[in-house]
Amino acid sequence: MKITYTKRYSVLPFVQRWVKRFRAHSIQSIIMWSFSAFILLIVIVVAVLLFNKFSRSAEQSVFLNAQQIVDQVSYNLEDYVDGMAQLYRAIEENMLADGQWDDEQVTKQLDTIMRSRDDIVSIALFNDQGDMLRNHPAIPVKPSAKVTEQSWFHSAMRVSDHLSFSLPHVQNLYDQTFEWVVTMSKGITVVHDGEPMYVILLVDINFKKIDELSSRISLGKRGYAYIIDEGAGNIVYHPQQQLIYMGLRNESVERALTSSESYIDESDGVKRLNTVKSVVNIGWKIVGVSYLDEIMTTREEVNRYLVRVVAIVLVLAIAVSLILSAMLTRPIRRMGRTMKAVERGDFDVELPLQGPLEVVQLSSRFNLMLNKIRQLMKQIVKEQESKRKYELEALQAQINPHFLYNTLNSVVRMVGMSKKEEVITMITSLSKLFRLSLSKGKTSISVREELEHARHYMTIQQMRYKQKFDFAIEADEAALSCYTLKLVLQPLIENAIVHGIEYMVDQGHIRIGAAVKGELLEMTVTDNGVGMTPEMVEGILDAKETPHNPAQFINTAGSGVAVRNVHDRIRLYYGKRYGLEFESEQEAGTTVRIRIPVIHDMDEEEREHD
Amino acid sequence: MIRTFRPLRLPIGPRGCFAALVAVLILLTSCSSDTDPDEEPGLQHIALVAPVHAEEQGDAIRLGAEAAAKEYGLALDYVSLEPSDDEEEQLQAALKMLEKGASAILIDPASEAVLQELGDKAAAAGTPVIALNDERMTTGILSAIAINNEAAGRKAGEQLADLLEGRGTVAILRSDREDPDLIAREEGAKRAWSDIGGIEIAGGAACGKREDACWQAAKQLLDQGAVDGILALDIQASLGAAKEVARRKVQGEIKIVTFGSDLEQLQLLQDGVLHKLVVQNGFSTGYLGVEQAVKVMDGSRYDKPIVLETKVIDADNMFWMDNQKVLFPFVK
Repeated sequence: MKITYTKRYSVLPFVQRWVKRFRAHSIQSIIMWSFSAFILLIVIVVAVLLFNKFSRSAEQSVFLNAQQIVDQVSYNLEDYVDGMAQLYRAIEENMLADGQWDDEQVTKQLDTIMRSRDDIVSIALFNDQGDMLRNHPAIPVKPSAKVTEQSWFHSAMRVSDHLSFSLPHVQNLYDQTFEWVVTMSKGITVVHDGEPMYVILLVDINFKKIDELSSRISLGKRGYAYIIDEGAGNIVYHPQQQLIYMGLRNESVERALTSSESYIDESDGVKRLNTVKSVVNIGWKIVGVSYLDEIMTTREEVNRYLVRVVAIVLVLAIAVSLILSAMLTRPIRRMGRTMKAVERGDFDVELPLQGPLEVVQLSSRFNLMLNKIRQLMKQIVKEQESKRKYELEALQAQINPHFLYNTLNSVVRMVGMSKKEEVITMITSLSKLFRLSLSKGKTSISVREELEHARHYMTIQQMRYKQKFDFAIEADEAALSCYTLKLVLQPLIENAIVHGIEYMVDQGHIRIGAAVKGELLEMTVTDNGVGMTPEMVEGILDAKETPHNPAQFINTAGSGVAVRNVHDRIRLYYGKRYGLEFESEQEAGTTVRIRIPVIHDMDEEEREHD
Repeated sequence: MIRTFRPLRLPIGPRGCFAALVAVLILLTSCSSDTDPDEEPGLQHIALVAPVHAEEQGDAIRLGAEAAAKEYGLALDYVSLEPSDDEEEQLQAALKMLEKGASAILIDPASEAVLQELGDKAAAAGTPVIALNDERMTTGILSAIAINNEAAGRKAGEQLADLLEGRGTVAILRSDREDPDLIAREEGAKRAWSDIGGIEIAGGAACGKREDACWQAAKQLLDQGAVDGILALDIQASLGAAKEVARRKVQGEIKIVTFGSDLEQLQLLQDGVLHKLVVQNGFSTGYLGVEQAVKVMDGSRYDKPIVLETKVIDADNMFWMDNQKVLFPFVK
């Protein structure tokens, strides 16, 4: 057994031991897996929640961002258009306030305005026939320019007193310029030379400025914004304007024209978010285009990141729970090993008081228990020792040489006195006494035999003490068949004779009784001797437990040690509940009660006590 | 005899374990920051060799090519030529780009010889060449963006015949270069006239590289006898003819039909000196050229020659929005 134990643990590799530990429903595996599963669950739940939240807010922020950017561009553009409209009003006031546009003053003012703004290409004033009245810078209009056919002229003629902005177009009034401009035009009725006159004031703005305002927009990595006019859906501005113009690229403006909010469309299989915003004062619409797959990319990035985090957390959770479970179960395993050692019979081990509180408590209990077991074992050993000793003593009592000597002396005396009958009685009693004493080496004998033994003993003593006392034995039929520890009555009787009756003047009387009283078998030895003081009664059984000297037994006239031994033997055999009880009164006599359990089966008794 | 076994102990204490775990966590999370996948080590370079004698057209091609390069994320190396440079210089410039290791070469060749030689060399080097304004597909020329010059010439011839109401004498002012494009145009025009019937071809003149030379040629042409219309095959010829017509103060009377969309030509068109322009879209040529180059380099399917449409522009329709967009480059 010991060999396999050692062998198994030393030969089995480390890994196998661990596998074994985790396969079984060990506390360690339970802690580890539940801890890991719990952490993983929490992390997954948190990750899923975070992912949803992240992707939602990423999406929202893209929508919001697009909206804000487009709004910003729209404000800038509105601002610019407002500024331009103000500038237009300033020019209008300067040129047309007093119906005179030819004087030096006007030229100077126009010059100032022109120089302060680099985005104004030209200012011109036409009459309703399309003839030029005044322009700045003063360049002749080329004869081939068909003023009346131009769109700005038409819109100024159609609605008077309304500032209109044209689409970007090539300026076609002067030689050699061919610049892309946006034209502001307005038809105004002025009083010129005393007569009302319908004139058209024209301010051409370089398209570059609008282009600049719009080209810096970026919506994500690839997103962009373009501008259409709300009337016909013509593209006013586009980052790839030339491509659009050349027909190399298309922008689906129909939906943008009708929408006033964001919408999602698809171009070349790619989903795009279109954010629309009107620029009210110019009748244009800004459309911001952002690519949704960029949002998806963000989402995927978040996703990948979270998956990585979950993986790391899982690894960490397993590692932490491994360590934790090992730490928690270490004292338990240690305890288990210690218990195993105890199981094998080593009671000298002790658990160290360390680790968690519960473990410490358990360890200390275990140690206490072990201590108790050790104590009990010691006690058992001691009791066994005493038992053997008492048996030896009893054995010695059986062949008390003193008693034998005295008896034989009496026999010799009787033979001398030729008391033949008495000699026979005495020798017969002595022989029966010894036979009963031996009783085949048994510890227990029946009450009947014990009483018989007592009778023979008392018969011999009666003769020795020359009929100094008489005796009677009364026993219930039920008590006779019970078993008792042998030779318990004899020391008591001897005690009664030696201490109670010997020095009495009157005739002594000893009565032996045996009766079953419920669970108890009670045997009594009653004498009418000198009795004892209560102190003496107390003293007999409470006598200090001194190492018993067998020699004292031999001296039956001793100090009641034999009586005490009877008491101890009974208690050793039957338990602490049983034993002797003294009842004594001076000059009246003493009664000793032997209380032992009622035992009918002798074999059982033998098994228990042998 | 009882053997007691020590429980498994890690060489580090619990606190040490925890610190190690935290360190591992930090390490792992710091590893997770991505390297930017959009960052590419080097851009592909595409070379565009400018055409000889085609200032405005060259600019338009360049703008188109730049727009496409920007869209496809390429670097465009534009090789400009001096006005005095000719086919030899163009060929040298192209070969130089080939040597520099351009991924593709776009060229508007001055002559067939240039294209052939470049094609041979490029095929050897494994570099694709895309021909612009040229339909010839010789060795090494993987794609071409061109107009149908004969059709354009026919269109021009028809326009001139229309202007003359189907009856009159016309002269052709051509370049002294042996440019097959110009020859195709001339043939197309002649075919149109012969179909119409009433047009008589008075003859022609060839002008050299410089504008003045064309003027001289036009002068000689007009001196030779009365003509009702002039077909100028290229920009220089048209400008020379316009100058001579203006000098003789017969502008408007002699109808001039020509090719190109030079600003000067447009001005003259508006002024009524020139009457019709057959315009090809240079921006598209450049843009599509780069697009083709990208397709060729990717190995994806591409169209072999792309033939672009031409447009007839006159003083009336030149400011139509659609035409404005084609004629006046949207310079930013």
